[in-house]
Amino acid sequence: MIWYLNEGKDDDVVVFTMVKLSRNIQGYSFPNRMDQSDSEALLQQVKGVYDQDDELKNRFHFRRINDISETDRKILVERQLISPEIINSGLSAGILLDKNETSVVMINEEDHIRIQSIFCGLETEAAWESCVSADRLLARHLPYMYDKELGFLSGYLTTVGTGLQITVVMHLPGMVMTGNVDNITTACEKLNVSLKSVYEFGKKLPGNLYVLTNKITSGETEENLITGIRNVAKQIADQERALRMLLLQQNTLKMEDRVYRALGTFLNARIMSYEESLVLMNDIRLGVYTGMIRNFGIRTMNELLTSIKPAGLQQFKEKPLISVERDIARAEMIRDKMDKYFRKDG
Amino acid sequence: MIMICQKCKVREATVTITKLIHNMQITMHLCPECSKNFSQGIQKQISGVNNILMSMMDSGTMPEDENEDNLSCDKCGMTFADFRKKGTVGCEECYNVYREKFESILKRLHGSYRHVGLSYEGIKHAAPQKSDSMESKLLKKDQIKQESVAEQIGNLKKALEEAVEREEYEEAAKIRDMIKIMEDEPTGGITL
Repeated sequence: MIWYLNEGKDDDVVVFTMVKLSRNIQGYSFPNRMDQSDSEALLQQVKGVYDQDDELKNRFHFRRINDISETDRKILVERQLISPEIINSGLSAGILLDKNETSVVMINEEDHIRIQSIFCGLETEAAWESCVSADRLLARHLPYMYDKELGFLSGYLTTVGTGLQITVVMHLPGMVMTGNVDNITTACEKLNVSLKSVYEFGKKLPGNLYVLTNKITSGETEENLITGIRNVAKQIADQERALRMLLLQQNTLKMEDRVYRALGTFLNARIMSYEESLVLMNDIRLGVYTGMIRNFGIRTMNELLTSIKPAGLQQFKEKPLISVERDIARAEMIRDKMDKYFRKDG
Repeated sequence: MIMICQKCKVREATVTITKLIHNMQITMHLCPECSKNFSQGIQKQISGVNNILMSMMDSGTMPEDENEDNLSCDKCGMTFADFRKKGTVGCEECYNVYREKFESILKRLHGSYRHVGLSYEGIKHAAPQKSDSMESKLLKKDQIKQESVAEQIGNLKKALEEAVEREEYEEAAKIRDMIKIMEDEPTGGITL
C-alpha cells in the first residue's frame, strides 16, 4: 500500500522513510553525458530484462515516462514515488512501478538505475529490504558498473560505494518551538548524517518538516549506514516527544488555543495557500499527537500533505487550474476530506 | 570553557566552519545565528559581484593542475576541467583516467574510498529469501550498539577533559556537542 495510507513505527515524529540505491550499467556513459539513442538502447535493455523475468513482471509494471500523462507524472512526483529529475532528464526514461506502490525503479534518472522505496514512519529496514530485493532481481541480468575497491560507480562521486541514500523526513515542532533544532543539527553533522529543513523548488517549506540523510555512501557497510540513521532518528524522536510533553505541560492553554484555532481555520477556510495549509497542519498534527484531536489520525494528515499540491488539486477538480483557483480548490478539498470526521450525525 | 562567536563577539560559538581556500584551512567559530548569515553571505557573494571567492573555494576542494586539466577520457571525452565545472563524472572509464584524483576527492567526501559494503557478485547470487535474516542481523547489531552508549559517553567525557587540558577548544566543542546529543535531556527556553 502507498506510504501515506499506511502506518509505521514512530509515525508520530517520522513522516516517511525513503531508501534509494544507485546503480549504473556497463557500456554506457552516465546519464549526464548520454545521448538520446544510448538512453533509448539502455531503456530497451532493461525492458528486455523485465519482459523475460517473471518475478520482475509479477512485482512491477513497466511504463515509459513519455507514455504517462503530464498530470499523472506530476502526481507520481507529489506522492514521492518518482523524482522530478526523471521527468526533466530529456532522455528516454522509464519506471518499474511496484504494484503495491511502495517501490519504484527509475531508468535513466540521474543514474541509469535508481531503486527507491518509501514507507510511512521510521521503517529503515523494510525500505532497505524492498530496495535490495529489487536490486537482486535486476543484478541477475544487468551488468552493473562495479569496482572491487571503489564499489558501485556513479556519475556522482557523492553516491559512489554502496550507492545507498537513506532519507528520513521528520516533523519536529517541539524542537523548533523550544529552540533546540540548531543544537541537534550541529550534533548530527558530527555523526555523518545531516538534518536540514525540507525545501521544495529552492524554497524552505513552513511546517517544521526536517529531512535526515546519510552524508557518506562509502567506507561503511549498508548495515552500518542504516543502523546509524535509525539510531539518530530514534534519539531525535525521543527528544521531540519529551519536548512536546514539556510544551504541553507548561503551556496547556496556549497550546490548546493554538491547535484548535488552526483546526477551525483548516475546516472552514474558503481560500488556502499551500504555505498556509502547511502551517496549519503543523499545529493540527501536534493536536493529534498529544491527543487533543481524536477525530482523525496522522494518516489523514499524511494523505492531505501529498494531495494538496498542484497536480493533486488538478486531479481533484478534473481540470487545469491557475494559482488562485488552486487555493480555492485546496480549501474545498480539505473541507471535502475532513467533513466525514466532524459530521454530527455520524 | 565557552567559546565566543568570532563575528558578533556576544553569543556562544557552537558552529565551526572550516573552508579550504588555496590549500589553507580557514576555521571560524560562530554562533548559529552568525553562521547562517555567513553562509547566506557567501551565497550572495557568489551570485553577485564576487565570483573570485567561488573559484577560490573550488580550488580548495579540488586539486588544480593545468596540464592534467587537458587530459581527457578516451571513451567519453570528459576532461578534468569538465568535471571541475559540472561536478559529474562522464563514464566508467573516467574512473581509470582520473583514478588518483577521484580517490582523493572520495576520501574527502566520505572519509574513505574503500567500499566495504555488499559486492555486485554477492547481490547477484543472493537467494531472494534472505530478507528475514538480514533484518534480524540489523536488529541484533542495533541492540549491541545501544548497550554501549553509556560506555561511549564515558569515553567522550574523558576525551573532553583531555582536550580542554591541551587547550584544543575546537576539538572540545565537537566532543561536547557529541555528548550533548547522546545524553542530553531537552533544555531551552520555550517561545510560543
